[in-house]
Amino acid sequence: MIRRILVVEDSDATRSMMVAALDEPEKREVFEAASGFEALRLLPRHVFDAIVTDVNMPDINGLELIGFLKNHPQYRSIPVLVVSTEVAAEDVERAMALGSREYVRKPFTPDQIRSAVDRLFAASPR
Amino acid sequence: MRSDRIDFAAEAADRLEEIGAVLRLDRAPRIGEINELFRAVHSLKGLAGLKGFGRFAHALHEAESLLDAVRLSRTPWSEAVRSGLDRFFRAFEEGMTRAAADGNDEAFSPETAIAMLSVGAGPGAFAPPPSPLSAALDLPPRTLSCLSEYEESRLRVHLAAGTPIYTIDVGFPLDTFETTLKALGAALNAAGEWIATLPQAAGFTAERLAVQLLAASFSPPSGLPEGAVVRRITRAAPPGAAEEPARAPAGRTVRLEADRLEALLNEAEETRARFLRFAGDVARWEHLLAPSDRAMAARLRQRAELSLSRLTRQAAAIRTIPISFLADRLRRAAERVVEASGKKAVFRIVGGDSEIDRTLADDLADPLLHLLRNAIDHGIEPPAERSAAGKPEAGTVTMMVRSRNSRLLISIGDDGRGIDLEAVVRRARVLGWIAPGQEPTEAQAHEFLFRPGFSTASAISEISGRGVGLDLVAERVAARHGEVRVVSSAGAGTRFEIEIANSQAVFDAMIVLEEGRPYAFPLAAIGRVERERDDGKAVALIRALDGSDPVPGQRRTTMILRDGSAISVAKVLRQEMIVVRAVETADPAPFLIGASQGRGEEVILVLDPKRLLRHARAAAPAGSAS
Repeated sequence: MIRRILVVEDSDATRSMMVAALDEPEKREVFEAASGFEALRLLPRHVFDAIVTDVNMPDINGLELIGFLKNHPQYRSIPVLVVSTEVAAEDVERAMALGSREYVRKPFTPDQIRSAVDRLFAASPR
Repeated sequence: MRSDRIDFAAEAADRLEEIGAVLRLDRAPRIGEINELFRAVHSLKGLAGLKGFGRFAHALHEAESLLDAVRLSRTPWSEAVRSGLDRFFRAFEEGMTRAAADGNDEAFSPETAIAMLSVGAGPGAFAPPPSPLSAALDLPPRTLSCLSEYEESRLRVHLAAGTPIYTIDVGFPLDTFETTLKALGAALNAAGEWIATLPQAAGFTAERLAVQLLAASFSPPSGLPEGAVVRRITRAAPPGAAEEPARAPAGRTVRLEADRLEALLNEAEETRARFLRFAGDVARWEHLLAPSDRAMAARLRQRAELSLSRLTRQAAAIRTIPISFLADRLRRAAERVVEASGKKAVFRIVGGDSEIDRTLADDLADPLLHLLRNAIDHGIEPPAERSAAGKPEAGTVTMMVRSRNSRLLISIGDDGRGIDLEAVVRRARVLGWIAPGQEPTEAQAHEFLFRPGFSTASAISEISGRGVGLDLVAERVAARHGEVRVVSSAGAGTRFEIEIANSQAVFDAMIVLEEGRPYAFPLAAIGRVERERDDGKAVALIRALDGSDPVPGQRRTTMILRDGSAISVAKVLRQEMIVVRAVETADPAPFLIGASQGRGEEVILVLDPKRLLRHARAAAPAGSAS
């Protein structure tokens, strides 16, 4: 079963690292969005099994994106993983309060992000 | 045109009256008063520009920027800010009187006025515990919970300033969304501040998105797209809840033994490293727990990880102080030296918010003080001599601080007479440092300045004669593995530059593996990472380090730098916040930033990718492409 993951992150370096860590043929398919807008554009076009998002992004930030998802009947149940630096600790707490399931601190290892995503799936079997 | 000037003078007098009233308060001004001050300066600037007083407008722009920083809580209000503004406006008023007589502002020196404003960054303000935003804003909790800490702080700043807050509900086609929204945002920013963008779940389709914008503005937002709904959400303030300025306490410092501090910091780092290893193990076992316990365990682990990260970062921050602490000391010294010298000079600081290691600040205080004294005492000419040379009577001494990765660049420059190279060479001949018949180069002559036993001042002045000489400056800087350079041009001034490793820096890094050993690169330098790219343009890390080639057939990863150049490595391990210390060897490689303690026992070398590539190119034999 291939899981579809949407990665939302404005830093190209970090996003490419997340994609490299998560992309695995036959297992996980990764879609990339460089902003909250791009994420909103991709949402109606695919069915995602998980969303991995940065918090601090210009225009529509991660918290605003999560707020949107949790208010929308169709996207409410997609598990969300928040990735952020500890500088934004306060914002991460807010993201968890909004209903994110997991948090990975930046900087991270590919292993950390893979296992956090696996935990999301273990907690919400399809 | 005469009536124009009178208008300006009358208008400006009114504004200056308002400004003076706030500056003469015997308490810290409220944020509303700071906003008034800001607006008064802003309109004064506009007026000056309109009347063609470019010098006034230029100077006022700087005052406005300072007030803007105060208004946005970036710079705390302090006595230094107040007295700087006070002196600025006194100078401005003098300039106005003169301009009224001359009909132009050419006698006014904006640089001199601006120099009065330079304020080192003060200690961070300790904000009082904030009251809930729901008390001040008519917004559902659901919306408030989506705001980031930054957005919340902006709302608070505007609430404190009495700026009304509005919501604007508006829908756009999704494919042109960004451009339309950015244009709307720019309009909101022109009238006030665009604070947040909340996408709305209701009515969302693949074609259309509705958003709710939060904006602060003194007048209701206008010129909005059709169908936009505007609502003012600021509640009336409850009686008796008069705003109190968030007053920053004076920057208090405590003395403590360096060893104890060091021990505390090492313990904090060690604790974090141990916890990260432990948390890694725990995460592997979490799937064995019942689902409900699993979520709780994960949350506990995440919370602990967050607090420990904050602990390490704060602990690391104890080790450093803002350079403004050092700058304040230098400023006081400068005032005394200027007074004793009978010259006129202003001292400016650029980059006062850089952080510097405490021990480094201690070690650099004397050398910097000496350079500063030299600048005033030997660099800046007496007022009459300056006037004769067509320079403003008051000289300017500028201290500039920049930090890059863990390197710190501090310069002290003056606009004085410059170094008399001929006198330097004469003196060196007397000392027997130059072989008969030889003509030293400029660089060699500059080098003499730093040798022990050298002093060109025929009469050693009361002020600069004491304390360390340039030889000691060089010695102190060399003791911290730094370099000191001098740039001087006759008649135009002298600048001494100290480049030194800021003994410790904390930044995010990409940790990679090459030949089984870990290396780190500052994350900020890396654009992106690609797996299995092999177009022959990337320089293998091992090749740059020791000239050998990686094992053929290896699947390698390429790091692409922001300028497009690339370095390939065997593997990218992780991104991590690292604490980097300077490497104390006699001859460190030019591309070595420092070293960091790894998760185990190993030491990770931290490399500057650009310098590394430059080094690799220089080392490559001609004709060799890779």
